[in-house]
Amino acid sequence: MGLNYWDDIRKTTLTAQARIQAIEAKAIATTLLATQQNIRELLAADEDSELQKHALSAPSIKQPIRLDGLFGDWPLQANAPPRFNLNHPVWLAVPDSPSETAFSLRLAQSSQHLYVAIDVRDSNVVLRKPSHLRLDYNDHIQLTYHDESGALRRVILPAEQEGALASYYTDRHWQFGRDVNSASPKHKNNQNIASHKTGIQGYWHKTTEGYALEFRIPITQLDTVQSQIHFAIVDVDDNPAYGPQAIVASLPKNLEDKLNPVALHARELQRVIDQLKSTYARLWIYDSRGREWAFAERDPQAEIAPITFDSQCVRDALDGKIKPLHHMNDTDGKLNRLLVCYPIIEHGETLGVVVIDESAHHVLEQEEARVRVIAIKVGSAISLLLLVLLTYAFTLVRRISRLSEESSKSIDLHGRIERSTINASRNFPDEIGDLSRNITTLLEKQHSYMNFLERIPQTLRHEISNPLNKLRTSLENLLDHQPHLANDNYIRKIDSGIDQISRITLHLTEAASLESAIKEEQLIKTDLITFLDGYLSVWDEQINYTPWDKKPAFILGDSSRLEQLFDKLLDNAISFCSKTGKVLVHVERHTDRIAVIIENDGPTLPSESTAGLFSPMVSTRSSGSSIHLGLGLHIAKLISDQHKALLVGKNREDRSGVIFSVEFNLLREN
Amino acid sequence: MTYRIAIVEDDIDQQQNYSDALQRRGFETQCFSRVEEALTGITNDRPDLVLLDVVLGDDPDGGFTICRKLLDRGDNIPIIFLSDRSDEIDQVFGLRLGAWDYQTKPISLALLAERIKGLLRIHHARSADNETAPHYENAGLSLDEEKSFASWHEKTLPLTLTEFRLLTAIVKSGPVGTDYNSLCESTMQRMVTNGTINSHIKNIRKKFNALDHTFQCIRNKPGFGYRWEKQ
Repeated sequence: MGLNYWDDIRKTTLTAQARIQAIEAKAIATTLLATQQNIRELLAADEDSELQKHALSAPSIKQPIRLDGLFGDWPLQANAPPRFNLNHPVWLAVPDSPSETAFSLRLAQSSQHLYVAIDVRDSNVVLRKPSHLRLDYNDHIQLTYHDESGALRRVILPAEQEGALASYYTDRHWQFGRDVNSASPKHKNNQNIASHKTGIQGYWHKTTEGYALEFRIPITQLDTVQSQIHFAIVDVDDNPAYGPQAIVASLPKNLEDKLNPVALHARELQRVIDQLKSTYARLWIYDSRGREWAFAERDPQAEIAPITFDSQCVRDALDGKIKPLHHMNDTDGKLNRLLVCYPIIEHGETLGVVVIDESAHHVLEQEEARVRVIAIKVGSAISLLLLVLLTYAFTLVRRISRLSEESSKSIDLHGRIERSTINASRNFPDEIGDLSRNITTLLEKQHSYMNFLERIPQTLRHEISNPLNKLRTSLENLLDHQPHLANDNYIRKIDSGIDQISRITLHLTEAASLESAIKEEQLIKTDLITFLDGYLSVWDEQINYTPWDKKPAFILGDSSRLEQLFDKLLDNAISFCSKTGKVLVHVERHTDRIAVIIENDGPTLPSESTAGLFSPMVSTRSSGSSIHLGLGLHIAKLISDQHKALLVGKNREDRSGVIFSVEFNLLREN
Repeated sequence: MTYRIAIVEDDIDQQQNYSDALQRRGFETQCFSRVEEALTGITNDRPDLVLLDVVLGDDPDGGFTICRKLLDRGDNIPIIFLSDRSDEIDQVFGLRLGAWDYQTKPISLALLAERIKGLLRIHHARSADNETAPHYENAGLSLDEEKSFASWHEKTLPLTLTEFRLLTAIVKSGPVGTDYNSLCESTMQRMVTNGTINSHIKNIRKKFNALDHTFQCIRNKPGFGYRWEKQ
């Protein structure tokens, strides 16, 4: 499916490209007609003259040609280079005499130069002698052309020596060099030296059959409208008179006052298509005779087979077919080029043709690059979006985690509010922020309620204290006034009741103040074994022991709090112990822990679950007349937590009683 | 000599009970139930000792206000707070104001009378600068029982009367130590538990440590009580 989709893209791309090329070609043709006033002059000059038969071809070249007198680097041409011999004589010293003088001529043009290669057959090459000021006493070539201003220029190319080519401006006498800026030729007596600044660079090379020249003329020095040039080979044999033996020209004698037409790239046209050369592989403008007037290419290094003027595409365009689009295929049948030829038509007359050649591979490559860029951009955008989403998700998760963590920490294991403000996401104006603020509100309300609950014992004590004090002081005063009432049974019961209420208020205060008190207390290294030995010595009559190892067991503890803890546990064990039962204390040592276990015979806990056993105001067993506010185990639990000890209460397996154990962590020094 | 005791208590029944009990024991009493009334009465007819409730009517700190104003103007009157507010912060605040003692309700009238007598005796002794008052010296600790004054290496220990009595009992027991029951009796208070004793001992140790962080003379005998061990 992906391949089919890509094929569809290829076809669509190439079709679109072909249409664009056709539109572009039409636009170029239209632009040329609209902007180039001399288009007709450029493309259709002398169309019917005799001179056109002798027009020279100067095809475009990609690479500069090395000027070394050797022609191996010239591009192959479909037709052999024109050869000029005695069939084209313009002058002979001995009329009708046989002469071997002949020359062949090749022209080529780049964007900057007109390249010329001349191969001269001459069995007797006469070189210029250094003592000769005249330039015509030796074999030489006469070159004539129109310069950039349209003026006629004559340049003489004497045979001097192997190497750099000498060239001189001269006049119609073809004898001396002439300063291009001077009105008159320079003579020997005037000691003037002819100018060499012709702008022509080249090489003179002696060959087995004669000599060869390879040179180039800057296009800027040539008139590309009246683009005409003429060559004449002057054969001078070595004779006392230094006279020429034959002159062979590139035009017949009847046209000796003319120059050969040559289609040089017209600067006006070249300027137009140069602006498009980065867009297309190659662009040409041909006139109706097949002369190339402008050429541009994107990549001179690219190896693409040239388009010849007589190709079907060009012929179709010259025939006036408006959409001569040609797909050129490889040998394997794959499309590899898109060729558009669009005619330049003025007043119904086809003046020339615009040819646009493009590589299908390049178009597809460009499309692929565009698709790749789009894919990269889309991929980057998606990646960025994903990254943003992931970051956002991570931020949300982190915020929720922090909120969860802070919420968890705000309440301790016993449900007490540790702090009532949640800072996580508190200032965010979103739903998590709302949640955080709502939790804070809940905690604050809960905290207020907890404060209220915690203050109940204190408040209760305060409220009870005054009436209790009134009762007690009144009773004391009564007994002072009437001492005989001291033995009254009811008075004793009143006194006992007041004592009981006093103890209750005392216990309430103790539990309420303990939690805040232990937070500030520091634990110190304490030997639990020594502590137990001393502490339990005062309980001898009430409890039994299983002897334990007297080796010190150090824990972090507070001896007065430990006393309070074991007071509560032993009070609890004794008060719930059956009349015939026993309270047993023993110690279990482990590698890094030590447990103090207190067992008593008697009623069991109502459930195996110890949840709520250590909650305040919870009493699960009945023990007769003793006061049980359910604060003893709660206090024991608070103290064991302070010591990071594990307090556990459970029934014996045979349900004959209850076991409480406090397991402390031993210090490593043990 | 008859001492006059000012009783400031907004509960008329309790006020009457204190007054009756003290008068039976030979004291003169003058009773007030409001702040301004008390300040005016005490100023016009200076008593020998003031018994102050903290909460007076709608003023939750009325007793503190009276105490501050009396002591600010230079009246060296012994003051005992007698309040239902038993929080440590209230007791500390009252003692820092300059009160000689802070007792919480309910209280035994007999013990209250004894405590008042004790304070008046101390006050009288201090006023007379009695050089013959019994001193107890023990390795840096100096106890003046007459003035209920303690110092550690010549630095004053700011103990309350109850703390002073506990410390005296422990020091006198030496390395043998004294048990919780004896210590409870020495406080001369009615409702005292082992936990109450432990809280007092913690406070005494804090005050010693504020003067000497190496102090460790008061040692616990787990389950029994406390003993004094020289450093």
